[in-house]
Amino acid sequence: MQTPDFKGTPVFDRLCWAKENLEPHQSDYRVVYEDKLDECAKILVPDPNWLSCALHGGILPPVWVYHELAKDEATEGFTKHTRGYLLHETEPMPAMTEEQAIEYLILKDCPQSVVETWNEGNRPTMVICRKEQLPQTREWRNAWRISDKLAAA
Amino acid sequence: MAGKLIADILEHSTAGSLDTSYVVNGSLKASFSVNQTANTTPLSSHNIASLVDTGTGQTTYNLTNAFSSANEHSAVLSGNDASTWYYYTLYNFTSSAATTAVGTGAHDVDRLSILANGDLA
Repeated sequence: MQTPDFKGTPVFDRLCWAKENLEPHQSDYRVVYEDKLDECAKILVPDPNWLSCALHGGILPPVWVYHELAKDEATEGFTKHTRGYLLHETEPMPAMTEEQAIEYLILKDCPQSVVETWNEGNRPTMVICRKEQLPQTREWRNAWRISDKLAAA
Repeated sequence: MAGKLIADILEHSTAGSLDTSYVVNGSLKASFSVNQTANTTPLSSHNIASLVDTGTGQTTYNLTNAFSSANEHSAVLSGNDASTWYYYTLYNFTSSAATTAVGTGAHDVDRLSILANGDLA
């Protein structure tokens, strides 16, 4: 299905269009990361509707837009986004492969501290894996950590 | 061919009129439901980019289209197993994310549902 020219269309409206016209895509990929020493590993799961938008192309804004909005929100005295137009008026991303979509999602939704330093220690603090590689039960969930046997790249 | 209605005001013959901005602003802006016991498998969603399994009974959601501020980001949620309802709370609000936790001890539920509303960025 051809994506309408969405540049200038509110992102929310694009998502409504996608919900009507695209099939959700369940990913087998998971991103496991540790952002705090005293907390268990977190597992990021791509949303199936979001992933179908990423694979289809022409819907999602570039990831730098989210970084700009995050910078604004981190500024002292921030009360409200005034650059929301970046979401809606920037040229949307073209179609991505599933792997590219996962990379995009890491840059968008994983903590910047993890993205920037995941391979600087004795072991990686972020790993992309398949869901079958996660423990299949939730036993001791709050003690899950990334294995020490993994070497940092 | 899809129909399109463009109007600023809806007027009833006797009950008065309503600005359509009430309809737009009052519509749901984000939602999802998830099975926490199956390692945070998304069941349905709208305006969600990703979910993060943050721990037992904890799920963080990240939005595709953020709200205009954390204060505008208001959400209600519920969690239940087959026969038990759980009280949930939300914390770590930003304009584009928040984290859920069970109000009475750590527990994963079969179905966690969230509805969020507010002005979008």
